[in-house]
Amino acid sequence: MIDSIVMRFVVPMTLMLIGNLFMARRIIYGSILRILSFLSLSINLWREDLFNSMLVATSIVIGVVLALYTTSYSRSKYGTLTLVPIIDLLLLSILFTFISRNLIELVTFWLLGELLGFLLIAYDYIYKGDTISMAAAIKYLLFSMVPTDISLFILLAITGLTEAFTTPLKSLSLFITDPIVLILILFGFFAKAAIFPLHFWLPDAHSVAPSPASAILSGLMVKMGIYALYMLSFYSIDRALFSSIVLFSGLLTTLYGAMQASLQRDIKRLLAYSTTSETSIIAVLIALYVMSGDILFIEASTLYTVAHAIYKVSMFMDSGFIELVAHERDIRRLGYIYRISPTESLATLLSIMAVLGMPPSIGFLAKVFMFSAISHNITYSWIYVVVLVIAAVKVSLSIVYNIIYFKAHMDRREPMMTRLGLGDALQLQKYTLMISISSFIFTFTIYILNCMRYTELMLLRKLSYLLIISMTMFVALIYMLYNLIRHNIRS
Amino acid sequence: MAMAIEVGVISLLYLISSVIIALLHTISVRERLIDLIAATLALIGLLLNIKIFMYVNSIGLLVYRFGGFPPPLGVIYVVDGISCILALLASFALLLSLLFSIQFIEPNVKALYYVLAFLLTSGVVGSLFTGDIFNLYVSIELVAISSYAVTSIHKDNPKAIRAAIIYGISGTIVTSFLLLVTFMVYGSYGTLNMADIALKASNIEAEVVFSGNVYGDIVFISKIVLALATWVFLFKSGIMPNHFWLPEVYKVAPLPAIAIFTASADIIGIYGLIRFYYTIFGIDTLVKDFRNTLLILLMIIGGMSTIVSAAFVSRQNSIRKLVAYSSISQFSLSLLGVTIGIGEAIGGVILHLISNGLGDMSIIFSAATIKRVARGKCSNRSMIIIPYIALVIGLLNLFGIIPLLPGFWSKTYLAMGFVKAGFPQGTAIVLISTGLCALGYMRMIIRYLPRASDSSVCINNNGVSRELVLPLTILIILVIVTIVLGIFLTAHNYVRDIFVSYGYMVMDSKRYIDIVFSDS
Repeated sequence: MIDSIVMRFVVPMTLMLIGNLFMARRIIYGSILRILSFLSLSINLWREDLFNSMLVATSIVIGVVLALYTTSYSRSKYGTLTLVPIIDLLLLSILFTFISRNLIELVTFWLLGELLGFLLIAYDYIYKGDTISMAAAIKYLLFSMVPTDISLFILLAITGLTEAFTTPLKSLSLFITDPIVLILILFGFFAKAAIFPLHFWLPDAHSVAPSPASAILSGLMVKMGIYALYMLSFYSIDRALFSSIVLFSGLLTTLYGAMQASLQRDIKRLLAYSTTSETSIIAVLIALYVMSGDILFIEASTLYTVAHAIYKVSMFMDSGFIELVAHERDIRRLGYIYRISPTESLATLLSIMAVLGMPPSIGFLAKVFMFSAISHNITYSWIYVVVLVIAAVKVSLSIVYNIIYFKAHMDRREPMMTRLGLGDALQLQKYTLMISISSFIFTFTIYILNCMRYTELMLLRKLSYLLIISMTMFVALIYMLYNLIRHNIRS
Repeated sequence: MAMAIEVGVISLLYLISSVIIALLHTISVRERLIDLIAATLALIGLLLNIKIFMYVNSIGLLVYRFGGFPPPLGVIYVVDGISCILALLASFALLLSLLFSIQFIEPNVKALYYVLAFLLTSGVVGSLFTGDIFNLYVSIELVAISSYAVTSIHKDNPKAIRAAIIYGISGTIVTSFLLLVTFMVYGSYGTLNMADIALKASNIEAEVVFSGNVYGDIVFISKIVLALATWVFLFKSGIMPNHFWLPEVYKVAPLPAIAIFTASADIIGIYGLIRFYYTIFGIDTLVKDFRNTLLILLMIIGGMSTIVSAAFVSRQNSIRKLVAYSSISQFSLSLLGVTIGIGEAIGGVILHLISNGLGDMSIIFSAATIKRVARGKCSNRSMIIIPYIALVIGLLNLFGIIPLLPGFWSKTYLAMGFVKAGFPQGTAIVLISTGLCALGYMRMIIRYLPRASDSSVCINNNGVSRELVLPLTILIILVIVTIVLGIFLTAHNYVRDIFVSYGYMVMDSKRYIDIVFSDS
């Protein structure tokens, strides 16, 4: 019953469509129905695959918060609510991709999501005739959508149509023996996850899209490429070729993205470049798993994916807030957001700390697992030394660009009172705070989800007293930080 | 075989219809009556084609002897899977085009258009069904001449005359190559019957009842025949570099005529290539190596043609040129599918021609309706959403990445064909051209987006006018047919297997020869 198409797809879709119809009249009922539609997908959480369950859980949380955020954002920026159904549809199609059981469902919802992504990137062109958006959307179509389509169609062709409809994804018997086929498929998924050489579409596309769209694109859609790479590891492929290609491109993009992010002064381009960097390090972890077979790498990449997704979504929500409140995207001309909204600055600070690894956030677990996994295998090959060095450099650069981003919030400057557009926009801050806090609460999902195969996570469950102590200290820290920010306003 | 009489009648029916319309117009019957008679005749043709389709699906391959004469003495019609489904598409396109032309063609040329449309479809159906090379030439010539006349139906437009001259002169030259082909085949093989040629091409010693043995250096002649025929069919389908006439014609022909062109007249080229390369000069004949070389050459031509024309599509701003270059691109993709030589790919090609026809018809009709509604009465403007949805569905169908529309399945089968043949790079070519075309399609979707000003309050709101009923009905029918076909393809295995079986049936030339020459 739970596995039937009705429960998995029809019910959430119907709830979402009815909710969107209600949005025209009573926003409160509409929002409740849409939140319910996302929550109704939580029946898919209890499966054997940890990566999949964590992605679904993250997407549901992000979906709920973004659904509420988009309503206020759309009304503030465009004056209408037309952005809301498209964002909802995109979230649902990404969620449906993650909960697909067979190849044809995956391909269907993947392609639908890409089409909606194109419409959202070109949204400013459709709405206001802004040609930069159309140029970015065209780049997205040619360099991300077309290569991914090539990969998906090749996979569909190799699988054959009877198996595509019936066999569950992980038990497909795919024999990708031809190296050209493997390279074509890999490049397609690189284009989706923005790894070298098909990474250059991402900064333009994610910086011109409306902020909730950028949040989904950076937070969830690039993870679809990672999910596909993870799925490929279950089939019989040439493991040496796979890991060498992914390692080479991934390590290159990690460094390139992190360095570019430190040089940007536009808040959204900074976040976009940081997405390429973080996604590449996750891909590197998956490649290391394929190379070594050590399951610790899968745990690390799972936790890092979740941590980065929540971080990126909250940062893009924050950039949307800044854009609406200050009408300015350049960090050099900002620096006063903490005066307008201390809550927002606190939320951003919490997200940054979470991704940099403050316990008990999930970013902390991610960093711990990532470095332990690399160090655990370090004696086996020189590759691990290289990865460790590059990961360390990347982490330090991420501290740099996160601080640069935070300078938009706190740089001791007077706000330019003439151009502030408050009101509706101030409602957005509570959603950003919600999602920042959730990255700390998300750690406790390891208790709910199925981690039977992962001994390290089971071990973590036993050490729950540590997590609870760090949670208490964290609550105290929030209180202190908030008071610090408010104290700075008065002075 | 009493049921087989429809096969012989259908082409004749369209011919007689055109004569009837011409006579009625001469004796100045009322315009609405002529419209009704034309639509009725087209509907009868469609019903006959549906009957033929269902009958051929149950028995596989149908042979109809004109006058009862056995082949190769007499002319025969051989209807197999791909013939009947493409004929179904042609008659469906004719019916919708006639219904649409009731309101969208100027009354003074409308009767002339009906006459030409019926002649054209008679030629299309004849060439799809025929089992005889000379009959194929005659039918193709009939299609061609009607097309030249339809192009210049707006005599006052100098561009129309120019397009008709370009199309007419180059078309006549090229189709006369086909006549040369029939001469050469008759002189060497001694026969004009396709099955007979196929039999003698695979077994040079064969002796058939009325046509005897072969004569002369048959390998040399067959190579020339194959090469010339290829060139003719490349021209008819508008593959680059023989595409130069297509954008000119599509810019000036009346809109219902463009619908017929994409859905029935221009698919003759691809159909002819399939017949010549798989039925007549099949996989194991005396020109095997030459045929393989030509197939490789065609694959290169098709690949380059599809990508270059897709690049043109991405830059188009007007619907007519978009449809023109998009048709060139899709026909080139079909050519790619034909050259692979795998049954699934040929099934995909047939499905691709069908989805291209449906998609182009949706686009043309909905764009015309949107223009008329936007310029017309204010109270009609709220109805603009229906043609817009039809436009979006047509464009998404051509884009081909939504599994609920038939365009996706044709591309999937093309990809499967490439992978099965050991050439997965071909999938990259298919999808690069898809992506480039998609830029043009998305531009159209955004351009025709209904603006909020369209549904503003109107001064005297007296409901939707009656003249919109017919176009909106046509569009709704097209949308329903597209979506139903797509859903059946997605949900039901046997519908997809029908197309794959058509592909394998076409490649099985021995079965074709056996059934034609059997005594029944």
